[in-house]
Amino acid sequence: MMSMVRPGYLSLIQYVSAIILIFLISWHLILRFPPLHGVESFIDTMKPEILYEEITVYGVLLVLLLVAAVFHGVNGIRSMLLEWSSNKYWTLIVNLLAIIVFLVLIVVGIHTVLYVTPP
Amino acid sequence: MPIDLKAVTRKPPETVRFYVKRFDPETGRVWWQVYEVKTYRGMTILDALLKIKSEIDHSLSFRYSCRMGVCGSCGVVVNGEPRLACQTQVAEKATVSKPEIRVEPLYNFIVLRDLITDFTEFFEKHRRIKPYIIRRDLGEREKPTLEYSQSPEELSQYYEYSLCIMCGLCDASCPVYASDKLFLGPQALAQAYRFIADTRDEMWALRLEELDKEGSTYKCHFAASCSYVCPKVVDPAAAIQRLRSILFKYKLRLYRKKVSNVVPPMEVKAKPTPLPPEATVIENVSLEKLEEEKPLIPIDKLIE
Amino acid sequence: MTIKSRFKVLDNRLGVKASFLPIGVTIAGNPERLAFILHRITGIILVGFIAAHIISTNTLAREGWEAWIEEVRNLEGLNPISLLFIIAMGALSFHSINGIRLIMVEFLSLWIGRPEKPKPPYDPPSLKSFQRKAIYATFILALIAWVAIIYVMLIW
Repeated sequence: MMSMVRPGYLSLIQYVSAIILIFLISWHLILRFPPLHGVESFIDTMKPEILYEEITVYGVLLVLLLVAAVFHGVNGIRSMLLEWSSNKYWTLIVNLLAIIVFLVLIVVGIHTVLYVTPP
Repeated sequence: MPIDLKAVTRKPPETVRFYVKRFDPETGRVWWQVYEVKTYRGMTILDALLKIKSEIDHSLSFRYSCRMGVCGSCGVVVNGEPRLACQTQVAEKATVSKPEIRVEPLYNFIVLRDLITDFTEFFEKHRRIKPYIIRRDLGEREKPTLEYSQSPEELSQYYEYSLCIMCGLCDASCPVYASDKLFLGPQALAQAYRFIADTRDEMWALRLEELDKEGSTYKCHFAASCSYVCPKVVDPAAAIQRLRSILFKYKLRLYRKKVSNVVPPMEVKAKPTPLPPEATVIENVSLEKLEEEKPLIPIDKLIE
Repeated sequence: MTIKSRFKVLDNRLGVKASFLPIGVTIAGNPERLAFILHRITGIILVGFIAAHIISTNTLAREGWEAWIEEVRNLEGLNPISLLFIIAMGALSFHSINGIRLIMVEFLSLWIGRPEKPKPPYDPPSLKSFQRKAIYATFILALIAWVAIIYVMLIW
C-alpha cells in the first residue's frame, strides 16, 4: 500500500513539512506568551475567550500545523521502525499502523477545530 | 580521521596486553584471548598482530596486504573504533597507565574467522550503483579513439570521493547500516555520487532511479561517523548529502547535468573561429594573410 | 556444499543499539553522532507528545470549556503532568533547532564545505565546515530556548 508511493516523495514531504513546522510551531508557541494577550500568566493565555478566537480565526493554520506535525512524526517513526527490520510482514504492519495512526490523529484534530463551541 | 601527531610519535609502553576477539567457525565459539607483546617505537597494530602470529599463536588469522594504508584489507576495530591496523600506532592506543588494546573484527560485517570479515555484501552493494562510467556512444566507450574533455575544476568536484580504498570502516561505524540490511551504506552511496558528479558519465538518470528506493539515500541521517573514521578523508557524509539534494532536484525535474564530449586530437588544426558581428575589420588587412605572414624580424635574429 | 553450510559464521551487526549509543566513535570527535542520537530520542518523545496534545485538546470539542479549564489547571506549578510537558518542550526546542541545521545540511546540502584534496592534518571538509559550529550553537540555543519556555511557564 505504502510501497505504491515512491519513498522519494515521502522523504521530500518530510523535509518540506519540517520547514513548515519551524514557522508554525514558533507561531504556536509565541501565542502562549502572556504579554501578547495582556494577561498575568501562561495558564491565563488559555482562557476560553482567547482560545475560541484563536481557533476560529486561525483554524486553517492550526489544521495545517496538525497535518504537517502528524505527517512528520508518523513518517519519522515509520522510517525508523522500517530500519530495524526488513521482514515483509513487519513492513506491512508498520505501514498499516502508520496510516491508521495518521488518519485517527488528523480526524481527532479536525474535530477539535470544527466542533468547538463558543464559551 | 585526524591524526594526533604527539600520540603517534610517542614511545609505547614496554609490553602491551592485546585482547583479541576470536571466533572459531567450526564450533562457533567466541572468546577474548590475551597476548603480551614486547613493543618498539613506531610499532603499528598490524606489526603487533604479525608478531603474535609468528611468535606466540600461529592460529590467529587476520587479513592484510600492503601494510601502508593503500589496499584497505586490514580494517579492524581497535579500542571500539574502526581503524586500519596498519595505520594505527600502538603508542596511540596504549598508555603507560593502561597498556591494553582491544582488537575486534569490523562491526556490521559477517565474521568468518577471528578478525576476517566477509565482504560479499559490501561489494554486492557497491556493484548495485554501477561503479563505472556509462556513455551512450558504445563504440567510443569500448574502443576509445579520442579523449573526454574535463577541466581541473570539474575534476576537483569528485576527486576526493574517488580515493576510496573500500576498507569498509565507514560501514562499520554507520548507525543506520548497523540495523538496516537494505541500506546501501556510506561507501556505495559516496561512490554513486562520485560517478554522478563526473562530467564524463552520461547515464546518471539510471543511477538516480536505482538510488530512489526505500533504504537508499533517504536512510542517511547525517551522523557523519563515516567521515570521522575514514582513513582516506573521502568524506562520504558530505557526498551523500549532495547526492540527496541532487535526487530531490531530479524528482522535481530541476536537475541538469553538464556532460562533457570527446575532444578532437591536438594535431588536427581547428578552423579559425569567425569574428563576432560587432567587430570592425580594418581595411586592406586580410585575416588569413595575417596568420600566414612571417614576422617582420626573423626569430633567429631576435635570439642573437 | 557451500562454505556457509559447513562452517558457522558470526553476524557482527550492532543492530538497534547503534541508533542510541555512540558505538564506534568518540563523541568529542564526532558530535554529529550525538546530535543524531538526540534527534531520534527527542523525535520519539515528540510523537508521543503530539498524540497526547491532539487528544487532550479534543476535550474542548467533546466535553466543553468546563472540562478544558480543569485540564489546563494541571499545568500550573510542578506536578507529574507539567513535568512531562516540560520534558516535551525540551525535546521540542532541541528537535526544532537541530532540525534547522539538518534542513540546511541534508535538504539543501549547504554548510558542508567544498570537496578538496586531502592534506594534513586530514580533517574531512564536512567535519570542519560551518555545520560543526552549528552543532555547538544548537546545543546552546536549545538549552536557552528550554530555559526560556520553563521561565514563561512556571515563573512569569
